[in-house]
Amino acid sequence: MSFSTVHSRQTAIKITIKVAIAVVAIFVLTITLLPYLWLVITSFKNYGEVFDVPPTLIPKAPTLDVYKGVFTGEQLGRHDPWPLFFANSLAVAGGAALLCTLIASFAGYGFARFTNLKGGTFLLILILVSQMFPGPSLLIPIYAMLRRLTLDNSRLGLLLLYTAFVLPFTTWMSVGTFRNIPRDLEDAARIDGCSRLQAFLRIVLPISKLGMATTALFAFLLSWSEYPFGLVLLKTQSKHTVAVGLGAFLREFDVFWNEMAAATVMMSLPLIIIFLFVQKFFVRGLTEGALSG
Amino acid sequence: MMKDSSTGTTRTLSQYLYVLPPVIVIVVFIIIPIFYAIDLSFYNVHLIKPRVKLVWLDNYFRIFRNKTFWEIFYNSVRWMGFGALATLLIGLGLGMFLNLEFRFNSVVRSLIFIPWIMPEVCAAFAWRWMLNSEMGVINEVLGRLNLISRYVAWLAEPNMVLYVCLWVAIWRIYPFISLMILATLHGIPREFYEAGAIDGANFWQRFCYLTFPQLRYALTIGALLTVIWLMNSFTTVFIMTEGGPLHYSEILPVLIYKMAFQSYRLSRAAALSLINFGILLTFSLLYLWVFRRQWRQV
Repeated sequence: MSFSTVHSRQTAIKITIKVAIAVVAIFVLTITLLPYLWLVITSFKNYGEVFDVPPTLIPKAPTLDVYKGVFTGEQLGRHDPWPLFFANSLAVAGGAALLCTLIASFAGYGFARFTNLKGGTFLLILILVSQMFPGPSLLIPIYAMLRRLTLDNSRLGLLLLYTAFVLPFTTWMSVGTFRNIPRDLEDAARIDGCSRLQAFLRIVLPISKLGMATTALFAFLLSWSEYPFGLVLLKTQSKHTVAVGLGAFLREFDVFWNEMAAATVMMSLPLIIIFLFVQKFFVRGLTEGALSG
Repeated sequence: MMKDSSTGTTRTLSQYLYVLPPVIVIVVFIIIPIFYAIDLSFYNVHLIKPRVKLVWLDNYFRIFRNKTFWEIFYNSVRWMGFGALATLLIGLGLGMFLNLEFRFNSVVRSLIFIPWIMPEVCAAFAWRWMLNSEMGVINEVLGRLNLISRYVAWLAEPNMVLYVCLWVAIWRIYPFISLMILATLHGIPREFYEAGAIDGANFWQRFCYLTFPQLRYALTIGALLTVIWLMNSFTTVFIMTEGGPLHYSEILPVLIYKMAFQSYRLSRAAALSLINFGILLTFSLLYLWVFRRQWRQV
Protein backbone atom coordinates (compact mmCIF):
# COMPACT_ATOMS: atom_id res chain seq x y z
CA MET A 1 0.00 0.00 0.00
CA SER A 2 1.51 3.28 -1.04
CA PHE A 3 1.84 6.19 1.31
CA SER A 4 -0.76 8.26 -0.50
CA THR A 5 -3.61 5.72 -0.13
CA VAL A 6 -2.94 5.42 3.62
CA HIS A 7 -2.98 9.14 3.77
CA SER A 8 -6.20 9.47 1.80
CA ARG A 9 -7.88 6.80 3.92
CA GLN A 10 -6.95 8.73 7.05
CA THR A 11 -8.43 11.89 5.57
CA ALA A 12 -11.54 9.91 4.65
CA ILE A 13 -11.92 8.71 8.27
CA LYS A 14 -11.35 12.22 9.53
CA ILE A 15 -14.01 13.60 7.21
CA THR A 16 -16.46 10.87 8.20
CA ILE A 17 -15.98 11.72 11.87
CA LYS A 18 -16.44 15.40 11.16
CA VAL A 19 -19.64 14.76 9.22
CA ALA A 20 -20.95 12.47 11.97
CA ILE A 21 -20.27 15.12 14.60
CA ALA A 22 -21.97 17.77 12.48
CA VAL A 23 -25.03 15.54 11.98
CA VAL A 24 -25.35 14.84 15.70
CA ALA A 25 -24.85 18.51 16.55
CA ILE A 26 -27.52 19.61 14.08
CA PHE A 27 -29.92 16.94 15.33
CA VAL A 28 -29.41 18.00 18.96
CA LEU A 29 -29.81 21.68 18.12
CA THR A 30 -32.96 21.05 16.08
CA ILE A 31 -34.67 19.17 18.90
CA THR A 32 -33.52 21.78 21.40
CA LEU A 33 -34.40 24.89 19.49
CA LEU A 34 -37.32 23.84 17.27
CA PRO A 35 -40.01 24.80 19.82
CA TYR A 36 -38.69 28.32 20.19
CA LEU A 37 -38.14 28.68 16.47
CA TRP A 38 -41.67 27.50 15.76
CA LEU A 39 -43.06 30.04 18.23
CA VAL A 40 -41.20 32.82 16.45
CA ILE A 41 -42.50 31.61 13.06
CA THR A 42 -46.05 31.34 14.39
CA SER A 43 -45.92 34.81 15.90
CA PHE A 44 -45.31 36.34 12.44
CA LYS A 45 -48.37 34.69 10.87
CA ASN A 46 -51.59 36.62 10.43
CA TYR A 47 -54.96 35.48 11.77
CA GLY A 48 -55.81 33.61 8.59
CA GLU A 49 -52.64 31.75 7.98
CA VAL A 50 -52.26 30.48 11.52
CA PHE A 51 -55.22 28.13 10.94
CA ASP A 52 -53.84 26.63 7.71
CA VAL A 53 -53.96 22.85 7.48
CA PRO A 54 -51.28 21.68 6.81
CA PRO A 55 -49.34 24.48 8.53
CA THR A 56 -47.07 26.63 6.36
CA LEU A 57 -43.45 26.28 7.42
CA ILE A 58 -42.57 29.86 6.48
CA PRO A 59 -45.07 32.70 6.90
CA LYS A 60 -46.46 33.75 3.50
CA ALA A 61 -47.08 37.32 4.57
CA PRO A 62 -45.00 37.97 7.70
CA THR A 63 -46.60 40.63 9.88
CA LEU A 64 -45.78 42.43 13.11
CA ASP A 65 -49.45 43.17 13.83
CA VAL A 66 -49.68 40.49 16.46
CA TYR A 67 -46.75 41.93 18.39
CA LYS A 68 -48.28 45.38 18.13
CA GLY A 69 -51.47 43.93 19.56
CA VAL A 70 -49.67 42.37 22.48
CA PHE A 71 -47.75 45.59 23.15
CA THR A 72 -50.88 47.70 23.31
CA GLY A 73 -53.25 45.07 24.65
CA GLU A 74 -55.83 45.83 21.93
CA GLN A 75 -56.44 42.88 19.65
CA LEU A 76 -59.43 42.04 17.43
CA GLY A 77 -61.72 44.13 19.61
CA ARG A 78 -60.66 42.33 22.76
CA HIS A 79 -58.67 43.97 25.51
CA ASP A 80 -55.99 41.85 27.15
CA PRO A 81 -53.80 43.93 29.45
CA TRP A 82 -50.48 42.43 28.37
CA PRO A 83 -48.48 45.61 29.20
CA LEU A 84 -49.86 45.46 32.72
CA PHE A 85 -48.92 41.78 33.04
CA PHE A 86 -45.37 42.59 31.99
CA ALA A 87 -45.19 45.48 34.45
CA ASN A 88 -46.46 43.22 37.25
CA SER A 89 -43.91 40.55 36.41
CA LEU A 90 -41.14 43.09 36.29
CA ALA A 91 -42.11 44.48 39.70
CA VAL A 92 -42.57 41.11 41.38
CA ALA A 93 -39.53 39.36 39.86
CA GLY A 94 -37.32 42.45 40.10
CA GLY A 95 -38.29 43.07 43.72
CA ALA A 96 -37.77 39.43 44.63
CA ALA A 97 -34.37 39.42 42.90
CA LEU A 98 -33.20 42.54 44.77
CA LEU A 99 -34.44 41.40 48.16
CA CYS A 100 -33.08 37.93 47.61
CA THR A 101 -29.64 39.16 46.58
CA LEU A 102 -29.48 41.49 49.55
CA ILE A 103 -30.20 38.70 52.04
CA ALA A 104 -28.13 36.12 50.19
CA SER A 105 -25.03 38.31 49.93
CA PHE A 106 -24.88 38.91 53.69
CA ALA A 107 -25.62 35.26 54.45
CA GLY A 108 -23.19 33.97 51.83
CA TYR A 109 -20.45 36.16 53.26
CA GLY A 110 -21.31 35.05 56.78
CA PHE A 111 -21.25 31.34 55.97
CA ALA A 112 -18.03 31.70 53.98
CA ARG A 113 -16.14 33.67 56.64
CA PHE A 114 -17.45 32.68 60.05
CA THR A 115 -16.50 29.04 59.69
CA ASN A 116 -16.41 28.33 63.41
CA LEU A 117 -19.93 29.60 63.96
CA LYS A 118 -21.86 27.07 66.05
CA GLY A 119 -24.53 25.33 63.98
CA GLY A 120 -23.32 26.93 60.76
CA THR A 121 -23.04 23.64 58.89
CA PHE A 122 -26.44 22.54 60.13
CA LEU A 123 -28.03 25.78 58.91
CA LEU A 124 -26.35 25.44 55.51
CA ILE A 125 -27.69 21.90 55.16
CA LEU A 126 -31.14 23.02 56.26
CA ILE A 127 -31.01 25.67 53.54
CA LEU A 128 -29.81 23.11 51.00
CA VAL A 129 -32.61 20.66 51.70
CA SER A 130 -35.30 23.33 51.84
CA GLN A 131 -34.68 24.22 48.19
CA MET A 132 -36.33 20.92 47.24
CA PHE A 133 -39.76 21.73 48.67
CA PRO A 134 -41.12 24.89 47.06
CA GLY A 135 -43.58 23.39 44.62
CA PRO A 136 -46.90 21.57 44.59
CA SER A 137 -46.44 20.22 48.13
CA LEU A 138 -46.57 23.74 49.53
CA LEU A 139 -49.26 25.08 47.21
CA ILE A 140 -52.22 24.26 49.45
CA PRO A 141 -50.85 25.22 52.89
CA ILE A 142 -49.39 28.49 51.59
CA TYR A 143 -52.65 29.34 49.86
CA ALA A 144 -54.58 28.58 53.04
CA MET A 145 -52.18 30.52 55.26
CA LEU A 146 -52.07 33.59 53.04
CA ARG A 147 -55.86 33.50 52.71
CA ARG A 148 -56.17 33.63 56.48
CA LEU A 149 -53.79 36.57 56.61
CA THR A 150 -55.65 38.10 53.63
CA LEU A 151 -52.32 38.28 51.84
CA ASP A 152 -53.58 36.15 48.96
CA ASN A 153 -54.31 38.01 45.75
CA SER A 154 -51.46 40.37 46.58
CA ARG A 155 -48.42 41.09 44.45
CA LEU A 156 -46.40 41.92 47.56
CA GLY A 157 -47.26 38.52 49.03
CA LEU A 158 -46.09 36.87 45.84
CA LEU A 159 -42.87 38.89 45.89
CA LEU A 160 -42.08 37.71 49.42
CA LEU A 161 -42.97 34.15 48.51
CA TYR A 162 -40.67 34.13 45.48
CA THR A 163 -37.89 35.62 47.59
CA ALA A 164 -38.26 32.76 50.04
CA PHE A 165 -38.33 30.11 47.32
CA VAL A 166 -35.24 31.34 45.53
CA LEU A 167 -33.24 32.14 48.68
CA PRO A 168 -31.92 28.62 49.37
CA PHE A 169 -30.26 28.27 46.01
CA THR A 170 -28.98 31.84 45.83
CA THR A 171 -27.56 31.63 49.35
CA TRP A 172 -25.55 28.59 48.30
CA MET A 173 -24.45 30.35 45.14
CA SER A 174 -23.26 33.33 47.09
CA VAL A 175 -21.42 31.17 49.66
CA GLY A 176 -19.47 29.82 46.69
CA THR A 177 -18.78 33.32 45.41
CA PHE A 178 -17.37 34.60 48.71
CA ARG A 179 -15.31 31.50 49.33
CA ASN A 180 -13.43 32.24 46.15
CA ILE A 181 -12.54 35.74 47.33
CA PRO A 182 -9.25 35.91 49.25
CA ARG A 183 -9.33 37.22 52.81
CA ASP A 184 -6.13 39.28 52.52
CA LEU A 185 -7.79 42.44 51.25
CA GLU A 186 -10.39 42.70 53.96
CA ASP A 187 -7.85 41.70 56.61
CA ALA A 188 -5.74 44.65 55.48
CA ALA A 189 -8.77 46.92 55.60
CA ARG A 190 -9.64 45.74 59.09
CA ILE A 191 -6.12 46.41 60.33
CA ASP A 192 -6.58 49.92 58.98
CA GLY A 193 -9.55 50.27 61.31
CA CYS A 194 -12.53 49.20 59.20
CA SER A 195 -15.25 47.30 61.00
CA ARG A 196 -16.31 43.91 59.66
CA LEU A 197 -19.40 45.44 58.09
CA GLN A 198 -17.45 48.28 56.47
CA ALA A 199 -14.87 45.83 55.11
CA PHE A 200 -17.67 43.75 53.65
CA LEU A 201 -19.57 46.65 52.10
CA ARG A 202 -16.58 48.64 50.83
CA ILE A 203 -14.03 45.98 49.90
CA VAL A 204 -15.58 42.54 49.46
CA LEU A 205 -18.90 43.39 47.87
CA PRO A 206 -17.45 45.55 45.05
CA ILE A 207 -15.01 42.74 44.11
CA SER A 208 -17.81 40.18 43.98
CA LYS A 209 -20.10 42.32 41.82
CA LEU A 210 -20.16 39.77 39.02
CA GLY A 211 -21.04 36.88 41.32
CA MET A 212 -23.81 38.91 42.94
CA ALA A 213 -25.15 40.02 39.57
CA THR A 214 -25.35 36.38 38.49
CA THR A 215 -27.18 35.55 41.70
CA ALA A 216 -29.64 38.37 41.10
CA LEU A 217 -30.25 37.29 37.51
CA PHE A 218 -30.86 33.75 38.61
CA ALA A 219 -33.39 34.93 41.20
CA PHE A 220 -35.05 37.11 38.58
CA LEU A 221 -35.23 34.27 36.07
CA LEU A 222 -36.89 31.87 38.51
CA SER A 223 -39.39 34.44 39.80
CA TRP A 224 -40.24 35.68 36.31
CA SER A 225 -41.04 32.11 35.19
CA GLU A 226 -42.96 30.88 38.24
CA TYR A 227 -46.48 29.75 37.45
CA PRO A 228 -48.35 27.56 39.99
CA PHE A 229 -48.25 29.93 42.98
CA GLY A 230 -49.14 32.91 40.83
CA LEU A 231 -52.05 30.92 39.41
CA VAL A 232 -53.40 30.04 42.83
CA LEU A 233 -52.80 33.36 44.56
CA LEU A 234 -53.54 36.08 42.01
CA LYS A 235 -57.28 36.11 41.45
CA THR A 236 -57.74 39.61 40.00
CA GLN A 237 -56.74 39.89 36.36
CA SER A 238 -55.10 43.29 36.84
CA LYS A 239 -52.63 41.70 39.25
CA HIS A 240 -51.59 38.83 36.97
CA THR A 241 -47.96 38.28 36.10
CA VAL A 242 -47.13 37.36 32.50
CA ALA A 243 -46.91 33.67 33.38
CA VAL A 244 -50.36 33.72 34.98
CA GLY A 245 -51.87 35.88 32.24
CA LEU A 246 -50.44 33.65 29.56
CA GLY A 247 -51.64 30.53 31.36
CA ALA A 248 -55.16 31.93 31.66
CA PHE A 249 -55.12 32.91 28.01
CA LEU A 250 -53.96 29.45 27.00
CA ARG A 251 -56.69 27.77 29.00
CA GLU A 252 -59.44 30.14 27.92
CA PHE A 253 -58.84 30.52 24.18
CA ASP A 254 -57.47 27.56 22.33
CA VAL A 255 -57.42 29.49 19.07
CA PHE A 256 -55.33 32.63 18.88
CA TRP A 257 -52.12 30.70 18.46
CA ASN A 258 -50.18 33.55 16.88
CA GLU A 259 -51.02 35.91 19.74
CA MET A 260 -50.05 33.36 22.34
CA ALA A 261 -46.85 32.67 20.41
CA ALA A 262 -45.99 36.39 20.31
CA ALA A 263 -46.63 36.76 24.04
CA THR A 264 -44.56 33.66 24.72
CA VAL A 265 -41.66 34.94 22.63
CA MET A 266 -41.82 38.26 24.45
CA MET A 267 -41.86 36.54 27.81
CA SER A 268 -38.87 34.29 27.10
CA LEU A 269 -36.72 36.64 25.06
CA PRO A 270 -35.38 38.77 27.94
CA LEU A 271 -34.36 35.64 29.82
CA ILE A 272 -32.62 34.15 26.80
CA ILE A 273 -30.73 37.38 26.12
CA ILE A 274 -29.69 37.71 29.76
CA PHE A 275 -28.60 34.11 29.73
CA LEU A 276 -26.50 34.32 26.59
CA PHE A 277 -24.65 37.26 28.14
CA VAL A 278 -23.83 35.66 31.45
CA GLN A 279 -23.98 31.98 30.55
CA LYS A 280 -20.33 31.30 31.32
CA PHE A 281 -20.62 32.32 34.97
CA PHE A 282 -24.11 31.04 35.18
CA VAL A 283 -23.40 27.50 34.05
CA ARG A 284 -20.33 27.31 36.23
CA GLY A 285 -22.28 28.50 39.27
CA LEU A 286 -25.13 26.10 38.62
CA THR A 287 -23.12 22.95 38.02
CA GLU A 288 -20.73 23.73 40.85
CA GLY A 289 -23.67 24.37 43.14
CA ALA A 290 -25.25 21.05 42.34
CA LEU A 291 -22.07 19.02 42.33
CA SER A 292 -19.91 20.37 45.08
CA GLY A 293 -21.74 23.19 46.84
CA MET B 1 -11.56 38.76 81.41
CA MET B 2 -15.19 39.82 81.73
CA LYS B 3 -14.82 42.38 79.00
CA ASP B 4 -13.21 39.86 76.65
CA SER B 5 -15.97 37.31 76.90
CA SER B 6 -18.71 39.89 76.47
CA THR B 7 -17.17 41.26 73.26
CA GLY B 8 -16.84 37.63 72.15
CA THR B 9 -20.58 37.17 72.67
CA THR B 10 -21.40 40.38 70.84
CA ARG B 11 -19.23 39.26 67.97
CA THR B 12 -20.96 35.89 67.78
CA LEU B 13 -24.33 37.62 67.89
CA SER B 14 -23.39 39.96 65.06
CA GLN B 15 -22.13 36.99 63.07
CA TYR B 16 -25.52 35.31 63.46
CA LEU B 17 -27.14 38.49 62.15
CA TYR B 18 -25.44 37.80 58.82
CA VAL B 19 -26.59 34.21 58.44
CA LEU B 20 -29.96 34.07 60.17
CA PRO B 21 -32.21 36.12 57.83
CA PRO B 22 -32.46 33.45 55.10
CA VAL B 23 -33.07 30.82 57.78
CA ILE B 24 -35.95 32.83 59.21
CA VAL B 25 -37.47 33.42 55.78
CA ILE B 26 -37.18 29.71 54.98
CA VAL B 27 -38.76 28.70 58.29
CA VAL B 28 -41.69 31.06 57.75
CA PHE B 29 -42.39 30.24 54.10
CA ILE B 30 -41.28 26.63 53.76
CA ILE B 31 -41.19 24.84 57.11
CA ILE B 32 -44.20 26.33 58.90
CA PRO B 33 -46.48 25.67 55.89
CA ILE B 34 -45.63 21.98 56.10
CA PHE B 35 -46.83 21.85 59.69
CA TYR B 36 -49.84 23.90 58.73
CA ALA B 37 -50.63 21.30 56.06
CA ILE B 38 -50.51 18.53 58.67
CA ASP B 39 -52.99 20.46 60.81
CA LEU B 40 -55.21 21.23 57.84
CA SER B 41 -55.29 17.60 56.71
CA PHE B 42 -56.98 16.52 59.97
CA TYR B 43 -60.05 18.67 59.27
CA ASN B 44 -62.61 18.71 56.49
CA VAL B 45 -62.14 22.26 55.27
CA HIS B 46 -64.10 22.88 52.08
CA LEU B 47 -63.64 26.08 50.10
CA ILE B 48 -67.38 26.59 49.71
CA LYS B 49 -69.09 24.85 52.61
CA PRO B 50 -68.35 26.75 55.80
CA ARG B 51 -68.67 23.98 58.44
CA VAL B 52 -65.36 22.63 59.74
CA LYS B 53 -65.05 19.39 61.66
CA LEU B 54 -62.07 17.51 63.04
CA VAL B 55 -61.92 14.22 61.13
CA TRP B 56 -58.43 12.99 62.11
CA LEU B 57 -57.11 10.55 59.51
CA ASP B 58 -60.32 10.24 57.54
CA ASN B 59 -58.91 12.21 54.57
CA TYR B 60 -56.03 9.78 54.25
CA PHE B 61 -58.32 6.72 54.50
CA ARG B 62 -60.53 8.14 51.76
CA ILE B 63 -57.55 8.86 49.54
CA PHE B 64 -56.08 5.39 49.95
CA ARG B 65 -59.43 3.71 49.29
CA ASN B 66 -59.86 5.65 46.06
CA LYS B 67 -59.05 3.77 42.86
CA THR B 68 -58.39 6.92 40.83
CA PHE B 69 -55.77 7.99 43.36
CA TRP B 70 -53.83 4.79 42.74
CA GLU B 71 -54.04 5.26 38.97
CA ILE B 72 -52.61 8.74 39.36
CA PHE B 73 -50.03 7.50 41.82
CA TYR B 74 -48.95 4.87 39.29
CA ASN B 75 -48.69 7.64 36.67
CA SER B 76 -46.43 9.58 39.03
CA VAL B 77 -44.23 6.54 39.60
CA ARG B 78 -43.82 6.05 35.86
CA TRP B 79 -43.28 9.77 35.44
CA MET B 80 -40.37 9.77 37.90
CA GLY B 81 -38.87 6.39 37.01
CA PHE B 82 -38.88 6.62 33.23
CA GLY B 83 -38.18 10.33 33.41
CA ALA B 84 -35.05 9.95 35.52
CA LEU B 85 -33.81 7.03 33.41
CA ALA B 86 -34.30 8.84 30.11
CA THR B 87 -32.86 12.12 31.41
CA LEU B 88 -29.71 10.38 32.63
CA LEU B 89 -29.23 8.45 29.39
CA ILE B 90 -29.70 11.54 27.24
CA GLY B 91 -27.60 13.63 29.62
CA LEU B 92 -24.82 11.06 29.58
CA GLY B 93 -24.82 10.77 25.79
CA LEU B 94 -24.95 14.50 25.25
CA GLY B 95 -22.36 15.19 27.94
CA MET B 96 -19.94 12.75 26.31
CA PHE B 97 -20.67 14.21 22.89
CA LEU B 98 -19.91 17.73 24.12
CA ASN B 99 -16.67 16.41 25.59
CA LEU B 100 -15.40 15.83 22.03
CA GLU B 101 -13.43 18.62 20.49
CA PHE B 102 -15.09 20.28 17.51
CA ARG B 103 -15.36 23.75 16.20
CA PHE B 104 -18.79 24.96 17.29
CA ASN B 105 -18.73 23.09 20.58
CA SER B 106 -19.10 26.20 22.74
CA VAL B 107 -22.00 27.46 20.60
CA VAL B 108 -23.85 24.16 20.95
CA ARG B 109 -23.10 24.19 24.66
CA SER B 110 -24.72 27.57 25.23
CA LEU B 111 -27.67 26.99 22.91
CA ILE B 112 -28.75 23.68 24.44
CA PHE B 113 -29.38 25.54 27.68
CA ILE B 114 -32.27 27.49 26.19
CA PRO B 115 -34.96 24.93 27.13
CA TRP B 116 -33.86 25.23 30.74
CA ILE B 117 -33.99 29.04 30.60
CA MET B 118 -37.38 29.24 28.87
CA PRO B 119 -40.23 29.61 31.35
CA GLU B 120 -42.05 26.32 31.85
CA VAL B 121 -45.37 27.85 30.74
CA CYS B 122 -43.79 28.89 27.45
CA ALA B 123 -42.13 25.54 26.82
CA ALA B 124 -45.36 23.66 27.58
CA PHE B 125 -47.34 25.94 25.28
CA ALA B 126 -44.77 25.63 22.47
CA TRP B 127 -44.97 21.84 22.57
CA ARG B 128 -48.74 21.77 22.87
CA TRP B 129 -48.97 23.92 19.76
CA MET B 130 -46.41 21.84 17.87
CA LEU B 131 -48.19 18.63 18.85
CA ASN B 132 -51.61 19.92 17.76
CA SER B 133 -53.11 17.13 15.71
CA GLU B 134 -54.23 19.20 12.69
CA MET B 135 -52.29 22.45 12.69
CA GLY B 136 -49.20 21.15 14.47
CA VAL B 137 -45.81 21.19 12.85
CA ILE B 138 -44.73 17.81 14.20
CA ASN B 139 -47.39 15.82 12.37
CA GLU B 140 -46.67 17.85 9.24
CA VAL B 141 -42.91 17.22 9.35
CA LEU B 142 -43.24 13.54 10.26
CA GLY B 143 -45.80 13.15 7.48
CA ARG B 144 -43.51 14.74 4.91
CA LEU B 145 -40.70 12.44 5.99
CA ASN B 146 -43.12 9.50 5.54
CA LEU B 147 -42.64 8.46 9.15
CA ILE B 148 -46.39 8.53 9.85
CA SER B 149 -49.19 7.83 7.40
CA ARG B 150 -51.89 9.88 9.11
CA TYR B 151 -52.00 12.62 11.71
CA VAL B 152 -51.46 11.43 15.27
CA ALA B 153 -53.49 12.93 18.13
CA TRP B 154 -50.47 13.11 20.43
CA LEU B 155 -52.31 14.59 23.40
CA ALA B 156 -55.46 12.48 23.15
CA GLU B 157 -54.09 8.95 22.96
CA PRO B 158 -54.61 7.35 26.41
CA ASN B 159 -51.53 5.16 26.19
CA MET B 160 -49.25 7.83 24.86
CA VAL B 161 -50.21 11.14 26.45
CA LEU B 162 -48.30 10.67 29.71
CA TYR B 163 -45.09 9.92 27.86
CA VAL B 164 -45.58 12.83 25.46
CA CYS B 165 -45.87 15.20 28.43
CA LEU B 166 -42.95 13.46 30.10
CA TRP B 167 -40.82 14.11 27.04
CA VAL B 168 -41.41 17.83 27.44
CA ALA B 169 -40.44 17.68 31.10
CA ILE B 170 -37.27 15.74 30.19
CA TRP B 171 -36.52 18.17 27.38
CA ARG B 172 -36.31 20.95 29.95
CA ILE B 173 -34.01 19.06 32.34
CA TYR B 174 -31.47 17.19 30.21
CA PRO B 175 -29.40 20.27 29.26
CA PHE B 176 -28.64 20.78 32.93
CA ILE B 177 -27.77 17.13 33.57
CA SER B 178 -25.57 16.90 30.47
CA LEU B 179 -23.62 20.00 31.47
CA MET B 180 -23.19 18.56 34.95
CA ILE B 181 -21.76 15.40 33.40
CA LEU B 182 -19.59 17.46 31.08
CA ALA B 183 -18.18 19.37 34.05
CA THR B 184 -17.24 16.07 35.69
CA LEU B 185 -15.70 14.73 32.47
CA HIS B 186 -13.56 17.85 32.24
CA GLY B 187 -12.34 17.09 35.75
CA ILE B 188 -10.98 13.63 34.87
CA PRO B 189 -7.20 13.89 34.50
CA ARG B 190 -5.81 12.99 31.07
CA GLU B 191 -3.22 10.58 32.49
CA PHE B 192 -6.15 8.32 33.29
CA TYR B 193 -6.92 7.80 29.64
CA GLU B 194 -3.30 7.67 28.57
CA ALA B 195 -2.77 4.72 30.90
CA GLY B 196 -5.87 3.09 29.41
CA ALA B 197 -4.64 3.67 25.87
CA ILE B 198 -1.32 2.01 26.66
CA ASP B 199 -3.12 -1.03 28.04
CA GLY B 200 -4.95 -1.27 24.73
CA ALA B 201 -8.45 -0.77 26.12
CA ASN B 202 -11.16 -0.20 23.51
CA PHE B 203 -13.81 2.48 23.72
CA TRP B 204 -16.33 0.35 25.60
CA GLN B 205 -13.75 -0.91 28.12
CA ARG B 206 -12.50 2.60 28.67
CA PHE B 207 -16.04 3.76 29.30
CA CYS B 208 -16.86 0.94 31.76
CA TYR B 209 -13.63 0.92 33.74
CA LEU B 210 -12.34 4.47 33.47
CA THR B 211 -15.10 6.98 32.73
CA PHE B 212 -18.12 5.45 34.40
CA PRO B 213 -16.67 5.06 37.92
CA GLN B 214 -15.62 8.71 37.78
CA LEU B 215 -19.14 9.71 36.78
CA ARG B 216 -20.94 7.68 39.40
CA TYR B 217 -21.20 10.55 41.85
CA ALA B 218 -22.45 13.03 39.24
CA LEU B 219 -24.95 10.46 37.95
CA THR B 220 -26.32 9.74 41.42
CA ILE B 221 -26.72 13.42 42.23
CA GLY B 222 -28.21 13.96 38.76
CA ALA B 223 -30.71 11.13 39.21
CA LEU B 224 -31.85 12.43 42.59
CA LEU B 225 -32.17 16.01 41.36
CA THR B 226 -34.13 14.81 38.33
CA VAL B 227 -36.54 12.80 40.46
CA ILE B 228 -37.02 15.76 42.79
CA TRP B 229 -37.65 18.16 39.88
CA LEU B 230 -40.03 15.73 38.19
CA MET B 231 -41.89 15.26 41.47
CA ASN B 232 -42.36 19.03 41.53
CA SER B 233 -43.46 19.42 37.93
CA PHE B 234 -46.95 20.76 37.69
CA THR B 235 -46.93 23.36 34.95
CA THR B 236 -45.96 21.14 32.01
CA VAL B 237 -48.86 18.73 32.44
CA PHE B 238 -51.28 21.40 33.58
CA ILE B 239 -50.70 23.59 30.50
CA MET B 240 -50.49 20.72 28.03
CA THR B 241 -53.44 18.54 29.03
CA GLU B 242 -54.64 19.45 32.55
CA GLY B 243 -54.19 15.74 33.25
CA GLY B 244 -56.55 14.61 30.51
CA PRO B 245 -57.97 12.81 28.63
CA LEU B 246 -59.71 11.53 31.80
CA HIS B 247 -56.80 10.91 34.18
CA TYR B 248 -54.39 9.45 31.65
CA SER B 249 -51.74 12.13 32.03
CA GLU B 250 -52.59 13.23 35.56
CA ILE B 251 -49.80 13.15 38.14
CA LEU B 252 -49.93 13.93 41.88
CA PRO B 253 -49.22 17.68 41.69
CA VAL B 254 -52.08 18.16 39.22
CA LEU B 255 -54.39 16.10 41.43
CA ILE B 256 -53.49 18.32 44.39
CA TYR B 257 -54.49 21.42 42.43
CA LYS B 258 -57.73 19.91 41.14
CA MET B 259 -58.72 18.60 44.56
CA ALA B 260 -58.41 22.07 46.05
CA PHE B 261 -59.54 24.36 43.27
CA GLN B 262 -61.92 22.27 41.19
CA SER B 263 -63.40 19.97 43.88
CA TYR B 264 -62.86 22.62 46.63
CA ARG B 265 -61.73 19.98 49.14
CA LEU B 266 -58.91 21.96 50.74
CA SER B 267 -58.19 19.51 53.56
CA ARG B 268 -58.06 16.50 51.32
CA ALA B 269 -55.73 18.42 49.02
CA ALA B 270 -53.54 19.14 52.05
CA ALA B 271 -53.41 15.41 52.79
CA LEU B 272 -52.37 14.77 49.18
CA SER B 273 -49.73 17.49 49.50
CA LEU B 274 -48.26 15.67 52.47
CA ILE B 275 -48.12 12.41 50.51
CA ASN B 276 -46.28 14.30 47.78
CA PHE B 277 -44.07 15.89 50.41
CA GLY B 278 -43.24 12.52 51.96
CA ILE B 279 -41.96 11.18 48.66
CA LEU B 280 -40.02 14.40 48.07
CA LEU B 281 -38.51 14.28 51.56
CA THR B 282 -37.34 10.69 51.06
CA PHE B 283 -35.47 11.60 47.90
CA SER B 284 -34.14 14.83 49.43
CA LEU B 285 -32.70 12.94 52.40
CA LEU B 286 -31.12 10.46 50.00
CA TYR B 287 -29.65 13.44 48.15
CA LEU B 288 -28.26 14.82 51.41
CA TRP B 289 -26.79 11.44 52.25
CA VAL B 290 -25.04 11.17 48.90
CA PHE B 291 -23.99 14.80 49.23
CA ARG B 292 -22.46 14.18 52.71
CA ARG B 293 -18.99 13.90 51.17
CA GLN B 294 -19.22 17.65 50.65
CA TRP B 295 -20.39 18.57 54.13
CA ARG B 296 -16.98 18.08 55.65
CA GLN B 297 -15.63 20.68 53.32
CA VAL B 298 -18.39 23.08 54.31
